[in-house]
Amino acid sequence: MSAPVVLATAGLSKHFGRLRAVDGLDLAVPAGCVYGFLGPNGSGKTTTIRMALGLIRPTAGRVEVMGRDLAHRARALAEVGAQVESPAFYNYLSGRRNLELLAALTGPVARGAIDAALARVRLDGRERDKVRTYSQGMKTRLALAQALLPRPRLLVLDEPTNGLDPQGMKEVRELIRDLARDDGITIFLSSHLLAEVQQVCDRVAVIHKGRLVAQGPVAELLRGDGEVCVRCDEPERAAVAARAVAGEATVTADGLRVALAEEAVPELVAALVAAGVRVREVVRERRTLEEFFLGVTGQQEAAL
Amino acid sequence: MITLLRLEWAKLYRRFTPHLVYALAGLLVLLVLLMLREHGAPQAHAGRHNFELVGDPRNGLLACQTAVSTIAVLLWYLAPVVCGEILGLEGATGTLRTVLTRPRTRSAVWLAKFLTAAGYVVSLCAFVGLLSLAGGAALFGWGPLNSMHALTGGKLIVLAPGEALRYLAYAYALLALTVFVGGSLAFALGSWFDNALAPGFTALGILVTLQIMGELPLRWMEKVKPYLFTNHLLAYQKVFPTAFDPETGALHFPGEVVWPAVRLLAVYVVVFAVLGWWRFARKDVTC
Repeated sequence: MSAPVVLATAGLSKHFGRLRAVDGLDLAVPAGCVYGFLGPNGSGKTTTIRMALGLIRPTAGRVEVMGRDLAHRARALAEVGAQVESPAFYNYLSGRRNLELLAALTGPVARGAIDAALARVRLDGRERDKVRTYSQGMKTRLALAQALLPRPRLLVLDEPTNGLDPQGMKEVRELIRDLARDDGITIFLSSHLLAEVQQVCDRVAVIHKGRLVAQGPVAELLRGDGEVCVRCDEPERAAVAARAVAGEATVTADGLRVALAEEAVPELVAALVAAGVRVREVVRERRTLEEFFLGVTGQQEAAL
Repeated sequence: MITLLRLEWAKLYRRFTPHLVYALAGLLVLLVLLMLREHGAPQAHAGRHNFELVGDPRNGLLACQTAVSTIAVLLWYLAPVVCGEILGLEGATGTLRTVLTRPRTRSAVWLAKFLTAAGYVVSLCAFVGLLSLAGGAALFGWGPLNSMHALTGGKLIVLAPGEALRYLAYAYALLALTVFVGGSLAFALGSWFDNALAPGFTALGILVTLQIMGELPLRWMEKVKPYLFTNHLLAYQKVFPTAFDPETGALHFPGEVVWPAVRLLAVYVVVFAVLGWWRFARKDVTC
């Protein structure tokens, strides 16, 4: 049985005058996953997130959060924590007071929940200082803490590592993985950092110029075109044996590249060994998320 | 709603501007008291052609009445700055988007802020009234109020302290309403501007423009003037009785003058509130 969908959009569109910022977007975020939301600058990511949280009214289409139409936003957003774009707080209040105020908007907060949230983002010790004295990285951490306070089932994070140093970015990645794995929180993560997304996300959606161009499990999307790299001695002899199995084989500096279905790989290896080729390594080629992203957005660009 | 109001009130009083306005109003109250101490009661000058005044009419009630007339203009111009900030500042700093991602309806968020703006105006007027009353009583003592307006009309109506307090309460309530017309305009403009100062200053611009329009000797403007809220900003001065009811002998409350002004000012507040709410409910929060 497939996981229930916690965030869904259907035909979601937003036009600013003649500009189609988002155009007929259909997203489905299953419960329990870390869902990466990718797109170049100006592709409509933040506009989509704002529509998903009821900050922007769609021109057309609908949004469902936790199975509830966003028209009933108070109920739909009851189990949602969010951090949209750059962190925004009351600078004249302390970090703790900000959290108390924002948490009270959701409902009663368990005793110690604020301390726990502050500790989780490593802001304990500075929580009584005014936010105006915080660095950008500290504000980002505070934004994460406020997003965690409602004890959300869905966490929407828009560029959550902006302003963080490499150590901070690593901690946020680990936090995201922990929240999904240990607390079962679904995370909808928008980021420019493709390596970061590849490390933490189970599924991704890519939008370009407001349109969805790809959506699915990361493992599936990154599976290459079925090419297998074989490192071996005597590549020319190996190519003859490989062509007998796969039809096509390209000789490279240290072996072969063969277009082959996964189930045919043992047969290829057997053929190479039978031909007396010393096989050192067989690797199914996978694309990086960056290659995939540039590929799909480039294709889309060419099509327009 | 109580939670929202509590939060809005807490945020309001952690900012600088509301306190600055209190400080300026308090300073003016002190200056009014000093003026009364140095120059005596205005009645002594205004009524000297009709009456021979014996004794000192100065007391806490007179100070309170003098303050309402003197300081009103400051409140009309400063309260909109604070009221406009309530929404505008949240838009400017981006905290509005943080608040609106919480499971609260926009109408509830808006209403809490609107009531906070109204509460601030009421508290500001009450502050001026109580400070002048207490300061005047401390400096000049306590006694009946010689109605300033009756004197200029050739009549002398002396209000006993209890009655005088009642009429002063009416005057300050009406002052709060006149101040909140500008305040509600600035607050409504906060739904349009994502800026802390623009709503307040735009409201001030409108206020001054309407005041100038109200003074222009244009014939066609005469029909419009009674409907300009700026032409009713002095309504709080008219609540003091200027005559006795010939049948009962009781003081006559000038309702025929006061109530139309109250109705018109209230209509303006409602119109500004509805416009502001309409915009806020539909606003795309993009900042």
